[in-house]
Amino acid sequence: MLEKNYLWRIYWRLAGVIMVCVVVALAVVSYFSHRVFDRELVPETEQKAATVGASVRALVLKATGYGIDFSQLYGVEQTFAEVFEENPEFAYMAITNTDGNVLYARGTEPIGARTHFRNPVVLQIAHETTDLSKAARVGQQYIVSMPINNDGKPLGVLHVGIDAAFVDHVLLEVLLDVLVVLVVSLFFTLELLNFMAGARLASGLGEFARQVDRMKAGDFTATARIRANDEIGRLLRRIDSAIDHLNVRYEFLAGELQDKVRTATAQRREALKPAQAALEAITKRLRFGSAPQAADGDEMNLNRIRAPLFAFILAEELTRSFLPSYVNQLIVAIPGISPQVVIGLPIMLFMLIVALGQPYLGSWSERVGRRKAMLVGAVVATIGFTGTALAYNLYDLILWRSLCALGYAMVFVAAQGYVLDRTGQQNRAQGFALFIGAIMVATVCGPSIGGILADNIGFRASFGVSALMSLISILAIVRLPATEAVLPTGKPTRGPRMREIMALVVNRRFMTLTGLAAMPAKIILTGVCFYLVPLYIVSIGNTSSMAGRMLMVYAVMMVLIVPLSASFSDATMRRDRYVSVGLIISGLSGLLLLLSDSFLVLFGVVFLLGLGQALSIAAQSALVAEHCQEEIRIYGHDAVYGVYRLLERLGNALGPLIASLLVILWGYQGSFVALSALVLFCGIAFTIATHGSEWQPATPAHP
Amino acid sequence: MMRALLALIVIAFALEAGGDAQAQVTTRPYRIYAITFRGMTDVEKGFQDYFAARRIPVQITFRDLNRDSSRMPGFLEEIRRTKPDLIYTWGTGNTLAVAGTYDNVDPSVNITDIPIVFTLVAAPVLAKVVRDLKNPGRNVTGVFHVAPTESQIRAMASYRPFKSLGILYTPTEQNSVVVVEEVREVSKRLGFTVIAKPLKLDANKKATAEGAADMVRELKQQNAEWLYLPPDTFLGTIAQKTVIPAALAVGLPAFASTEQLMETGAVAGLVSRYHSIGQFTAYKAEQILVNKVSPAKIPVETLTRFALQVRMDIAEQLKLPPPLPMFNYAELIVPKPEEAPAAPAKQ
Repeated sequence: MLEKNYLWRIYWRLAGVIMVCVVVALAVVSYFSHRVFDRELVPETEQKAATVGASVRALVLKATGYGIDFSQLYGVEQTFAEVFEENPEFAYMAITNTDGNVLYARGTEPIGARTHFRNPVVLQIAHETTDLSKAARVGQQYIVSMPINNDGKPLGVLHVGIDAAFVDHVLLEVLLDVLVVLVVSLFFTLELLNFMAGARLASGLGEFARQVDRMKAGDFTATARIRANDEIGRLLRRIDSAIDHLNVRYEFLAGELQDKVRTATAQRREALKPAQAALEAITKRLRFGSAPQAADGDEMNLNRIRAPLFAFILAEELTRSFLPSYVNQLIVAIPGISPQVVIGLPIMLFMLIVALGQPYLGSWSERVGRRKAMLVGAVVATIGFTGTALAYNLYDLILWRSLCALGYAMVFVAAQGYVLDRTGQQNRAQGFALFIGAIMVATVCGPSIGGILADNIGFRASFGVSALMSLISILAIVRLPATEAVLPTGKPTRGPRMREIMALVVNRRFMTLTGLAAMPAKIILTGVCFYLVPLYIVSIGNTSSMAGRMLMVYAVMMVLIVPLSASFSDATMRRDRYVSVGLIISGLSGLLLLLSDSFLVLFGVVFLLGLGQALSIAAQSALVAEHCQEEIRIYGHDAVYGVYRLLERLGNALGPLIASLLVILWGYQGSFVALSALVLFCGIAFTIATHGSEWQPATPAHP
Repeated sequence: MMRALLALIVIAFALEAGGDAQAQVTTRPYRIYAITFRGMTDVEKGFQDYFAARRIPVQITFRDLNRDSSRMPGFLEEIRRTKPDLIYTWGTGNTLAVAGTYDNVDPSVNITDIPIVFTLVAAPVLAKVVRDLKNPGRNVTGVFHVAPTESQIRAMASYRPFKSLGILYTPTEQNSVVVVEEVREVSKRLGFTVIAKPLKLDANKKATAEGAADMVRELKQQNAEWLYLPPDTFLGTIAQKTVIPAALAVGLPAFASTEQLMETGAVAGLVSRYHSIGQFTAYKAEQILVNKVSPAKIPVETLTRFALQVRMDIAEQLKLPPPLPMFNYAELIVPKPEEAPAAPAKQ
């Protein structure tokens, strides 16, 4: 394992500098594009108002052309209302006669409009026969005015009011998108940097350190390794050649001595004894010769899992912010099931397949090989994504999503196995940090980018992008080493048996952890983030981009807080207290919606939820090992964790179901509140249940 | 005069079709026996245009009832004698006279062995022409022409919203009675009152125009805001002379359910274009004649698109201009002054 040595520090400093450069460059570009946008947006909107106004005017002129008196038109306000429906940026429309008196009007009249309409300059517009329009700021609106003129005979003036608040809102939207792109670029840069430089540096340094360690231990066996063609590789090659040289010298020495001993007289032989002893001592202390072909470059290979895993998880994460809306579009009435539940169905099924599939796919991937298992999974998922993009209705959508779920479970389990196979007791934590890191970065980047994609290219094309990402992951998986690392103490993993599940489900201590902490945490996660947020955001007239931003807030919280809480929970506080606090914070999140139904409050909800989950997530699984030692002794570590993971993932599947049932009862807001209240209740119950002495840490990590 | 013009066009098309038929020497033209109710309409024109456009050789024998049901036995006798390939019937009355109702067929009177294609039957199921629109189940299929009642009511409301709706109808015409019932159903949902007045019957239980003008005036006094003209055959015959003038005099706008009623002077109507109806009827006939599908298996359908027509001259007379958005989608009709109202000119 690598120490935080000099080169490593340089790498991070370099990464820091690159990140700062990226951020500064992006910030500058964002600032200027925002200014350009600001400058262009108002004229663009005014142009649109002029175009829309011209079509209303054409209608008015058509009516008067049929002999209807200009002041006797009927349904003008209705026409305005239809315009507002299609163009929410327009807040007010009015037609005045040539004296500036309002004949027809609809919408919010800005302060000062009447004076503006009677202004001689404005009235002069009525006499224009060209396609001219004039814009002016009146109160809180930009008023675009254009003539209604029947072949030289002025009839009046048409005014269209653009809401200034709308313009501000668009600018804010753009700003938020820029922010999202900034954050995503940041993570992408880090990921790429790690992929291109960090992984190689880590493996290079690791190789070097191991080589030095070997030599320190007196192992001078020659290794027929292929060295990378970089500085470290060249250095290692020089060491290799030095070792080869040493080996040759040793061989020569040993041979010469043997030769001499064979041909020498007894007296000479006696004299050679010390030399022989010295050579023997050297052979005892040091080792020469050629080493067996070692399982090479495990660390390098370990890092190679990161890119395909990231690409694959990203494909799925892209869909998070708009999947429910897409389902809503393809919905087919299923008799006896409320549409709310039907929307949640594909998500539910996905989670269920992942939950139930994982234990069995684990041993399967071991049998067929991790690389092959990942390959099969990614191919299945690619088919699933492609099918989803082309789905005809809900029924085949469910089939395609099930394929995605199966593929997801396969890749996830196989990648996990890949890491397990290539890590020992000491570097397993590092291996999993890498594994989780790739997933985390995907969860930060996926939903937000997916939301922007969905808003701009549509749901189906966005699923196409997911299919493409999945395809890219296939290419990356193909490049993984074809030889499987075989664990020396390989005892085949297996899914938990029914007997173990039954025994553990009725075990009070185990279920306190699983039923009151792990499952509620997952229920609120999938219920809120994967089901309620995307649907609620769109239902209150917001975009999928906004849903994506929300989910990004959650993911960023996880990325920032999990490492902190993971290291702190060992040091400062009992783990179960972390879980309590985390659950209670999660449980309070949805209650915020009691205060207001604004989408800004929703940011608060997601923020608190992310904070709560991040605090408890690391401590939760550690608590199982800490407090269920008795159970682990009886059923074995694998079985206890297997059941724990299974139940936790069933919580994932239950989330959308429970959330959708609550929506039927109390609407979206009610569902947020009720789901949070449920978790709050579990949090409090968990706190009380873990209060007793049996929950004192059995072996305090830090006395 | 207009009718004469139409007849001319019809002949022209018939000749053209005949020419095609000659070109295809091997095919004997299909013989169609058509019974109309009040002479040639746009429906027959559309019917013939379709065959001409599709180059299907047909030889159509037109017979006009001219509103006189005593002529029917003669037609039926001629059908039995000439044995045409297909019978075309215009309107509910003609159709029932030829085919009988599905539960009361008299083989000595009704025709059962020759496929019948009907058109302009407002309510084929209620009139007992077929039991099920999708699956006629007898040697009869065809086309109906009235837009769904609710669509008509909504179109009326989009012209001018109303709280009270007046209807005149013939109580002996089953299809009218049913439409009135449907309007009452819709009124419960959309929230308006219905004042429906049945026309008077004479000693022979035949509807008369007597008192119709008074009923219109009464409707106005009872605060009806629209006069709805259901697809009623008898009402159609008295609308132009009696009902519409009375309504215009008291400023009550009339809304038409068929193109024929529209022509009598309603201000607006949601109607099927007669020409399109004729083409669609010909399509059904083609299924039977050319594709050899049994009429029992050809669904009875109507067009999916209806025209919202507005008579601009009537609108001006009533001082009820169409709402501005309607100028985008309505068919605005301005009759030329020198011509009869039956000649709409589209701008």
